[in-house]
Amino acid sequence: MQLISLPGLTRYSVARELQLKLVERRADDLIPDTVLFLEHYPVITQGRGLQFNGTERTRHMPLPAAFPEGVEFSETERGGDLTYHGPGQLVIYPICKLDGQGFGPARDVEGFVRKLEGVLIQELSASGVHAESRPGATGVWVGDSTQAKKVASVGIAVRKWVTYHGMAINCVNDLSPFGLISPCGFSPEIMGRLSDVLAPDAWSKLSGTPRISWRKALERALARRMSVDSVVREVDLQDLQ
Amino acid sequence: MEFKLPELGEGVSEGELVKWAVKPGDVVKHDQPLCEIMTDKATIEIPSAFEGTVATLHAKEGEIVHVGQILLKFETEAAADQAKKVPTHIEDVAPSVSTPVNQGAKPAPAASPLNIEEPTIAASPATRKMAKEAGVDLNKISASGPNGRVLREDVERYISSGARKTPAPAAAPKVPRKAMPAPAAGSEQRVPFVGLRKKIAEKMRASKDHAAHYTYVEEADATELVQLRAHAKEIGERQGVKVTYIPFVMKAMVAALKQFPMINSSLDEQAGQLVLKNYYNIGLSIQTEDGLTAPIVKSVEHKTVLELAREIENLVDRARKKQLTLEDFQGGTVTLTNAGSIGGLFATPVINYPEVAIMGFNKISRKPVVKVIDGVEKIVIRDWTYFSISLDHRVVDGGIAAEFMKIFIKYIENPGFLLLD
Repeated sequence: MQLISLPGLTRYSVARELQLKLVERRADDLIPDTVLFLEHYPVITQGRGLQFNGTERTRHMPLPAAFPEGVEFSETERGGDLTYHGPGQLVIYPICKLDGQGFGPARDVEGFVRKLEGVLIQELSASGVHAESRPGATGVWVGDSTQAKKVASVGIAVRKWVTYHGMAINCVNDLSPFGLISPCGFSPEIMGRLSDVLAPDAWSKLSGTPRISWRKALERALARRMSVDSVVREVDLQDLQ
Repeated sequence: MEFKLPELGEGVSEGELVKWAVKPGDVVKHDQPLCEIMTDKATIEIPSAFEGTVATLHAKEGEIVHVGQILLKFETEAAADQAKKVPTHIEDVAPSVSTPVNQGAKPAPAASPLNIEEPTIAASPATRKMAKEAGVDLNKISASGPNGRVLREDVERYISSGARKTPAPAAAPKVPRKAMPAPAAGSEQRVPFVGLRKKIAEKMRASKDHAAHYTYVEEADATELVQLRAHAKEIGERQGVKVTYIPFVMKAMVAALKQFPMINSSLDEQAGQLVLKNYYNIGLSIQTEDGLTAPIVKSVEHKTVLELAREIENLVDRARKKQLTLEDFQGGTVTLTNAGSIGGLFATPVINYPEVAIMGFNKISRKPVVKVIDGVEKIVIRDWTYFSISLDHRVVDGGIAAEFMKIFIKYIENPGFLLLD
C-alpha cells in the first residue's frame, strides 16, 4: 500500500478527479493499492442516496435551502446520502483492488467497508476508547447506546473492482455545518469528533496547531494499520488530471 | 447467454439497480461497466465478464436485484452458433440441476445429444476438475472470464468466500424474496404508483427523453393587466362566469405565436418534419387531487375573453370531477401552466411533448420598480410578474425565444394591443 498525503486543503472536485484517475491506473495494475489522506475545503456532498440508519432506509435527504458562503455542494457516486467535509476532518480515500491480494478482500464490498472501519476502531481501542461499527449503520461510533456519537462516516464506490471514496474522520473540525443537513439520515447531533472523546493530548503531542498535529498523528497511526510501505512525496495534480 | 449479478461480498445478498450503462443492441467489451448497483454503503459498477451484444435487460432501474439474479442476456458469435444446435435450458439450470457438477473432466461438446440436458457452463478442464474436487457446482459461480467462462480464480474466490457452505439443495425451489427489506412498522408506506400518477410519470419521462429542454424567463409589468382583469371580473360576475388571468395570457400567447410559427409546432421525428400549426389549441395545466392534467382549450384565436373564461371554468370543473374525456386532450399545439397560484418566483415547466413550448405563468405581486416619469427616475409600485417559457432547443433557439418573449410581454404589459390584432 502506498500513501499519498495531500497537504493543506483539497477541493472536492479535485480529489474526485484524482481518485478516478488512480482507479483507472489501479485497475490496470500500473500502481499498487494507494490510500489518499486529505482534508477538504468545506463541502456538502450527496451520495447515491440509499442509507440504512438502523431504523429506516432513507434516500435523498432534503438539501438545505441555502448553503452558507464558502460551503460548496457536490453530488457524487459514493454510497450513502448527505454528509459534510471540512478542515480538521481527516478524509481517507483508499484506492484498493478487491482481489484478495492486498488490503481489499476478494470482491467483498461489505468486508472492505468493515475492514476500513476496523482500522479506526482498532486505533481508538489502542488509545483506550471503545469504538464500534454498527450492524446496518455504516460508520464508526463511540459512546454507549444512549449517547452514541458517529465520529467517522463511510461511503465508498467501486469501479472495475477497485474501490474509491472512503471514510471521513471528524478530528477537530467544527461540527456545526452538519446542522445544515441530516447526515446520512441521522439527526445532526449524532455527529461527534475525536478531540471530544480522546484525552486532549493523546494524539496531539506533536508541534503545530491542533489541526495539523491531529492530522499528523492520525495519519501516522492509520497508515501503519493499513500496512503502508511507501509514501508518494510529490503529487503533481496537473499530471494526474 | 446470461449475465448474473455477481457476489458483492459476504452478507450482501441484494442491491438497488441504480443505472444501466448499456442497452439492448450495445456491443460490450470485457470489463466495460454494465450497470451500477447500490447497497447501503457503496455504489458498485458491475463490469462485464463477457464480450458480446446485449440482447435483453432483465431488471429495471430502481429495482432491487439479488446476487445470482439474471441481469441481462447477451449473444456472442459462438453462442449464436450454439443456439441453433442446442436446446437451451439455461433458464432453469440453477434450480433444477440434479447433479451438482458438470459430469466428467472434459468439456461437453455443445452439439452432443447426450449432453442436451446438461448445462453448458464454459470452463477449462482443469477448472472443472478443481470445482469437482472441492464439491462446487459450477452453475453457482459467477463467471468473470470472457463469454461467461468460469475461471480458476472464480472457483478459488467462491471457495474462499465460504459461499459453498450455505446449504443449497440442488432441487430447492427458489425462495420468493421481498422487494425491499421490511421497514420498521409505520416508518414508511407503500402505495401503488398507478393511474394518472403513472401516466404523468411516463409523459414527463418521454418529454425529457426527447426534447432538449431549456427555460427562458422574462419579467413583466402586469399593472394594466391587473386593472383590465378587475373590470372583466366584474362584468363576468354579472354574467355568471369567473374571469381569471388565463384568458388574457392565452390571447397574448396567440398574438405572439402568430409571429413565431415554429413555437406553435411539433417535431415529427419519424417523418423528419416540423409540423407548423395554423390553429391555436392551448393546453391548460390543472392540478387535481390525483395530479396534474392538461386539457385543451381549442381555437383560442376565435374566442373572446369571456368565452375563454367560461370554457376554462368548465374544463377546471370537469377536471376536478374527473369527467374529462379523451377529446379534451386531443389536438393541443402549446401549453400554458399556471405555476403562480401557490407561490414561487417562477417555475421551469416540462414541455408537454411532442409540443415544443410550455409557458409558465407565475405569481403577480406588488413590487417597487424604477420608472421614468416625465424624464425623471422614480420608484413606483407596480404589479410585477415573471413568465418562464420552456422550449425544445432542437426546434427553437434561445435568440428566437428571447424575441418571442419580447413580443409576448409587450401584449401582457399593454393588453390594449390585443384589440389591434
